[in-house]
Amino acid sequence: MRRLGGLLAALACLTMTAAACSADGVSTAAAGRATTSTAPQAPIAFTVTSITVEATADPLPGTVEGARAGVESTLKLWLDEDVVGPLRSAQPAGDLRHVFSAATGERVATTADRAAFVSDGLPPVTGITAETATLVVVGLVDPDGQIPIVTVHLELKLKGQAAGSPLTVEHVGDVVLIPEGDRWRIDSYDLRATRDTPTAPATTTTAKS
Amino acid sequence: MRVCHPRLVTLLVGLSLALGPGVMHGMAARQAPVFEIHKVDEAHFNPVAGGPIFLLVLGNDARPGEVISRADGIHLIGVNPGAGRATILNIPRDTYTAIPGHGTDKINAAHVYGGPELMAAAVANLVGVDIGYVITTGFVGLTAMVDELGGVDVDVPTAMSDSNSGAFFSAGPQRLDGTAALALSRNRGIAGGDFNRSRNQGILILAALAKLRAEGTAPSRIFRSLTVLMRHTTLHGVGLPELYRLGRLGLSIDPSNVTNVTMPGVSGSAGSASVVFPTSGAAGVFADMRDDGLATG
Repeated sequence: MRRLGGLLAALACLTMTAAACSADGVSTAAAGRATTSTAPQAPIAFTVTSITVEATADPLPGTVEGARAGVESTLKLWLDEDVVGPLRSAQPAGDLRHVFSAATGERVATTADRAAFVSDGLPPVTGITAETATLVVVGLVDPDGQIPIVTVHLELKLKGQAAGSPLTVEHVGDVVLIPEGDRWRIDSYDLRATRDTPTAPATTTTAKS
Repeated sequence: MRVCHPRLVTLLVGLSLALGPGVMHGMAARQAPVFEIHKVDEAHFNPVAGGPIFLLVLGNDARPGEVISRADGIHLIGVNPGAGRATILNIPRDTYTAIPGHGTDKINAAHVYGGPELMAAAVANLVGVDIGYVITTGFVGLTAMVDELGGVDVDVPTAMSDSNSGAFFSAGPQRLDGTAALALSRNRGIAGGDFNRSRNQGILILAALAKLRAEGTAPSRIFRSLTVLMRHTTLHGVGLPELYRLGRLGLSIDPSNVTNVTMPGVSGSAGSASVVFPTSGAAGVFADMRDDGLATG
């Protein structure tokens, strides 16, 4: 019991130390190797700066807000699980199909376009903050007042520290989403991704479908 | 003798897939649909990189109030998304061919027998491809649309002086307003007759595409264009996401990467009717288009 108590005390101490030295709760001392999250991560979320519709008929009540919420939810999922999460863990993102329509997901999963949506291959990134995370949403209203398709101009600029050097990751461009299955999903895209750090040449990837 | 009515198939690809926002101003009061877009193939529109997509663009000769019409402007457009290239195959209206369920006749009669769907079947049978969509229009309102676009820039291939169509042009690059574009698309009083008129309609399609691309291809811009289009279009089996994909596809093609080909044929007669028989050259063009949607011309 005494030994167990000592371990718990040591863990608690480590936890407090790590939380104190990192903005997002990951110890900077662990940069470059596997890390352990020890405190809540700083929330990073998109802000919808504008939502408008192109319409030949009035949208049904709640339709615009529904589309907005659905689109925001999907892009938040991508941001959390495929961008920020993998940056923090240094683990590759998944195959992205959970945020893409079936046909487009297949393309992204099997072509170089994937690189416009993820940042695989980087060391663990700590202290991630969003300098920019905005969405400009435009919905297209059909004659029945429904919104079956939405285009989003997204600008995402994340900053953090990787292997002791500042790192900037940007995703900028347009994505078009449609409702498919259980959520809104990206059906086409024209996106540019840039990773910039002083220790290596900046890399830019563009993908268009 | 039947008078040939004007056709404005010339502008369909550009205008019907991506009408500019400026069009709205002049068209807002019009209620009758200018375009109809039919989905022929029920398969999900889901282009695979490198796989061709075929659209049939028809200009019918219906005047206001007429219900039954013939398709006098017939253009099969093969788009290869992977290559970013396309081919416009202009098919003379008098082409003598099998019309499914109706024997052999001039191809444009298929529109009378069975509307856009049968036209698609006849063209598909002639060329040997699967057609996904048919876009049809009459000439009502299209002159105004060209004007709303601020005209289209066309390199008129030959000098023209034809009082029947009103086509009076010197050869060379020039900007055509709606009336002039209509005249160019109507004029058969040129060497090559209907063959070269059909070619000129293809030239106008490309001119409209170039004009519309210059106005922007961002998704939000396409949304705006589609909204305008929907006010004047009847959709048959085509949803907005699909329409968006079509518009995006059309605008993704640089006109310089589009080959404008007129079906090789020879004039002849079938009974008392003057018709066009496809030649072996036509068979070669058809075969060329089948695999990738593209013909070398």
